[in-house]
Amino acid sequence: MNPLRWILRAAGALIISLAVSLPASAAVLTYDREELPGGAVLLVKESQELPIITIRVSFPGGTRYEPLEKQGLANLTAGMLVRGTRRRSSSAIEKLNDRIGGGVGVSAGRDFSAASIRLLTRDLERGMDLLADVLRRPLFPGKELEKMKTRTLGGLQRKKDRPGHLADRAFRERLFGSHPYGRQVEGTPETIKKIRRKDLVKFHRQRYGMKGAIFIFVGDISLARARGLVMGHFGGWRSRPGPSPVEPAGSNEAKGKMTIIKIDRPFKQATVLLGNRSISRRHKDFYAARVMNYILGGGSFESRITKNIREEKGLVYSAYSYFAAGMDTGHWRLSLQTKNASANQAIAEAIIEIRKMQDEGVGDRELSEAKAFITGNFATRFQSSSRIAEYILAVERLGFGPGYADEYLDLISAVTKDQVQKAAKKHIRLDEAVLTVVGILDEAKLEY
Amino acid sequence: MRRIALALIAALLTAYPVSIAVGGGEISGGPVDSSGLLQVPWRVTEHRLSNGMRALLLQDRRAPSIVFQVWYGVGSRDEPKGKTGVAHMLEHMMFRGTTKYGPKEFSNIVMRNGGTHNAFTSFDYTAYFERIASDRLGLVMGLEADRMINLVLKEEELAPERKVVMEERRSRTEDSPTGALFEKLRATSYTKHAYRNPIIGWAADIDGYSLEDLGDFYKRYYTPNNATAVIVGDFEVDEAIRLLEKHFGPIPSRPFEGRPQMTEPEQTAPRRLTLRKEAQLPYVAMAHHAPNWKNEDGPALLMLENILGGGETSRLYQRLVRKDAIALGAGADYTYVSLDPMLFYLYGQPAPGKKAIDVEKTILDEVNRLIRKGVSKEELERNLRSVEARTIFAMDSHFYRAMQLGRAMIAGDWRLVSGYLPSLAKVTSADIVRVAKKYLRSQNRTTATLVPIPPGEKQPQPKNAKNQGESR
Repeated sequence: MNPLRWILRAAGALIISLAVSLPASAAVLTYDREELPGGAVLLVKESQELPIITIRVSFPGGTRYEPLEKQGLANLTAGMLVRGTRRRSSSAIEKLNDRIGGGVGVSAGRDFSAASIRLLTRDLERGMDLLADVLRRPLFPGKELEKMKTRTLGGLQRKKDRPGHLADRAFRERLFGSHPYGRQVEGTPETIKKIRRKDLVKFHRQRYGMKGAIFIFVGDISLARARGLVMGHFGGWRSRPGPSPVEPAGSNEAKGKMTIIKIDRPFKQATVLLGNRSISRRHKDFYAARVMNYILGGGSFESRITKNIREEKGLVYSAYSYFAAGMDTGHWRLSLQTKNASANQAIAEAIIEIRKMQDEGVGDRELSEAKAFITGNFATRFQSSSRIAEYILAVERLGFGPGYADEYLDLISAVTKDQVQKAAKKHIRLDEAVLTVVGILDEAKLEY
Repeated sequence: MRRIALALIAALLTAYPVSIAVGGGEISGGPVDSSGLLQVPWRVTEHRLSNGMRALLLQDRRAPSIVFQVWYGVGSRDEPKGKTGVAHMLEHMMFRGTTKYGPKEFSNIVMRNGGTHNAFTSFDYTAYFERIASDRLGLVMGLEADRMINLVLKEEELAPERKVVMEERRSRTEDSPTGALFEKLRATSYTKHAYRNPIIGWAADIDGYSLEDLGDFYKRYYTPNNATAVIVGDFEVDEAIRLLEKHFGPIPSRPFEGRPQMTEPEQTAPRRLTLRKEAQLPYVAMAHHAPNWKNEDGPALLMLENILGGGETSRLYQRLVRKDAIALGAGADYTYVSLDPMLFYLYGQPAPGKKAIDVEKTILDEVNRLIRKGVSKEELERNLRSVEARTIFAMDSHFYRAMQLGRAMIAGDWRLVSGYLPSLAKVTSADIVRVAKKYLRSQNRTTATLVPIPPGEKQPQPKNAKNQGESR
């Protein structure tokens, strides 16, 4: 990012004079990128300040690749990778993990799965050996699988204590149906029970391998060393991808009016989720939408929604909105909790703020302050290796290059008032929204 | 989220199964000490202003930004009777205006400069922080210095903030079965010491604070001689000291009578409580009074915590979750860095269909097995290596490094962040058995059990549920 260019651009967009923030240098986020034989990508961000190396390995192994009747398969496959290999028992893996201060963990999301490990420099060799072992040679022992299924079912039950989870589950399901974004990563009790060892073996064979893998190293390691380790441990590793069962995200039904989901549970607070299907992360409007949402509900204490319903009216501890912009689709949501009796008022005030944004847009000062925050805050967020690794991974998964940080700052800086208002009208759709409320309905007496 | 009552979160032990061990002893200069352990030094510069304010400065140039924190030696333990939660309430009010800035300006200034900010309150401390580009260090210092002396407390600002805190309490405690359980467990374990009170305060007290209560508390504790600034990140030490002197130097120190001293009488008989609440699954937690870093048993207690409950290879996890499969989670939690002695917890969440009493018995069976048979060399060594690695990993995040420094400073000495590995390396199996016998005995234990009322459409009103099972 060229700061001068930024100042000129910002100055052009501004009339009033403010403490305009210069973005902290995005140079912190440059990194090396290399394509490896077999279709993998290697990304390295070297820094020798501490004797620590943070590693992530990403695979196209999220829930979107699992059959509908076996929801939870991606999650179980990821979890079971560390439960025994041809060379190590489950307990040997645990002990080695312990010795190196945490060790390898694997988890699945909706689009991808990822292994992560953090190592002291002195443990690099044996850490990589362990990582390759669990990723390449898992055994998926049947007894371990049964235990993990039981624990997953227990975890699902425990989550029902959380009003936020109950609301999210219903909200996603209504927005996205059987699309992966509408399902729970853990699956459902019915589908988990149907999953067999052979399903894991097959899923692993199809989704884990060099093709589509992203290797990320942050910390005390050079590009050459990282390349040598990856090729030494993973060279020649092939996957055999089968047909992808992912469903296209269908369009929303019930256009023209909001869908209301009410869930009666004895919580003192009503948990409110309001939102609609919206843009993917690669949509051209993402940047205007990001700025708009900062002003509306994403900018913590500076957002209109927080100023109104928290700072002025004291109705909530927390209220915020965001675009959950995924790979091929996404959604916008507003989330808040308030005592049941205040639910109507909090929802009404939030809707007033949304409509005001759509009808009147934003002022010059608000716009310039929003851009100043987003650009100025950008590089300050990367104060740990894991934050840097997560960022680099997200950029690569989205198909952006190592220069994306500068591009992002430029695109944010270029957003106009008109674009902000258009983004509010186009990408927040109360007429197609889903409103979910979990709480004591007798007390909430919802007017919706 | 914002204005976090930090220890409230930490109390949800299931989410934080491993507390990073932080120990005492001398900081080691070299990378490897005599016990063969890897130690990375914390290159901290200490500075003291003439008004008594302290500062800890630590350069870390991996990102072009800084974390700035101001720690006050005041927390929920220091609150007057009937005013529980006033430290946390005051923390919220610190964002609502000074003689220099209006009620909404603090946040606006920090954020339009690309910074983020927040604050947290715990039993022993209240801390405020900003994360911002390095060239804005002077700006955030100016803001923190301003609210150290110029806070304006107004009824029209207090009224909505009081409601906000009530909502915060509902989220954290009243609608969280484990949050509510640990609140009651502390209130029963302590009979005299103010650690018995929740950081956020009892609901009735939150309703009752006056502006005067807040003002008195502010005047007493918010003085430079009771504050420590912590800076971690990419900055020049000399320049940062110059800025500290410029912004905080002119603030006069006030006579500070010190923090209230208090002790908890020794517990002589087991206590037990039950909380009946809407929940899916039961939960059991046991709390034992245990000394902190100020006592020579501290290092052995840290090793005991790790061996019994530090992660997936710990004895409780292996036995209850992996082998017997009667629990979804199990572990131990001990606080080494604190002002006064806290609690050594053992806890477990029964798996569906399993009983809390069996989880409780099995946890105690593991404690007894450890006392009977001790710990093998291999297990000791493995745990030591694990703590060693995690201690270095804990240096990775700017924010967390600043947290560790501030917390240790409040507890007595910032050097508590490091240099404890040598003392851990000296801990023997006999030491661990001895402290297990001494502190994990039944007379020193309070056991809390969550008995779920299954949530259904037609359940009793939760209004009443709060008082059910009260045993205080």
